[in-house]
Amino acid sequence: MRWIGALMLVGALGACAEVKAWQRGPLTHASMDPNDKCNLVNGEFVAHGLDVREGAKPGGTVAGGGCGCN
Amino acid sequence: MRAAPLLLLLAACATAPKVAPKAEALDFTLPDTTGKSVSTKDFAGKVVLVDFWATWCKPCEASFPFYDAIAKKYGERGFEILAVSVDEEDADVAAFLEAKPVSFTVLRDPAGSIPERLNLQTMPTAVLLGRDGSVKHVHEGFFDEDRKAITKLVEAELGAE
Repeated sequence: MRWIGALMLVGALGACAEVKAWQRGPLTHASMDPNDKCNLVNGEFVAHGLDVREGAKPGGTVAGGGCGCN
Repeated sequence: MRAAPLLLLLAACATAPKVAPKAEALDFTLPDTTGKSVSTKDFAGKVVLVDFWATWCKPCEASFPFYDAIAKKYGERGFEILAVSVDEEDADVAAFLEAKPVSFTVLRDPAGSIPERLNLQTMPTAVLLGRDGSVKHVHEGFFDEDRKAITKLVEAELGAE
């Protein structure tokens, strides 16, 4: 059990990657904004993904291929 | 003892101390937006505000009209602004400056070499250099109320001669 705990601790420490202040550009992308209508979680991307998966109606307004993720 | 792993974890996640740059760290040469090399030494004897910014940084965007205004207002008294963009793409900077043209010098550091050297913690960060090249003030972030404080600092440096 101790080994498992130690492994979990090492894994947790590894998760503390530092993003420098000047490297935060990608984090400001619209897809990272939960309020953006095109965001990956609850926006048009999801609707696009659902459309593609269900195949029951024409696609939405989001550009990209059939995987629904780009 | 049970809290030891947690403390270790928190220590590992702790942020680095605030930036406290030495003058040598601000002695650099970078290309401007046209590719021409510009050195901080070119502005020896002047009061220089070195501003680290990026097009994706909203407070940076808010600071630009203000910096442009003080660059014009105090330029004749020996005040210069060097705005170092850390954007990865030149096109982003060009589009930003086309929409919001400024009179001061904009430099490019896409690799973030100077912010790395300074251990910058906040975007934007402005470093005010005195006429002797020494670091007089470091200003992290940009809020509406900062305009007065920065103007006061610049005026104090310009008047100190």
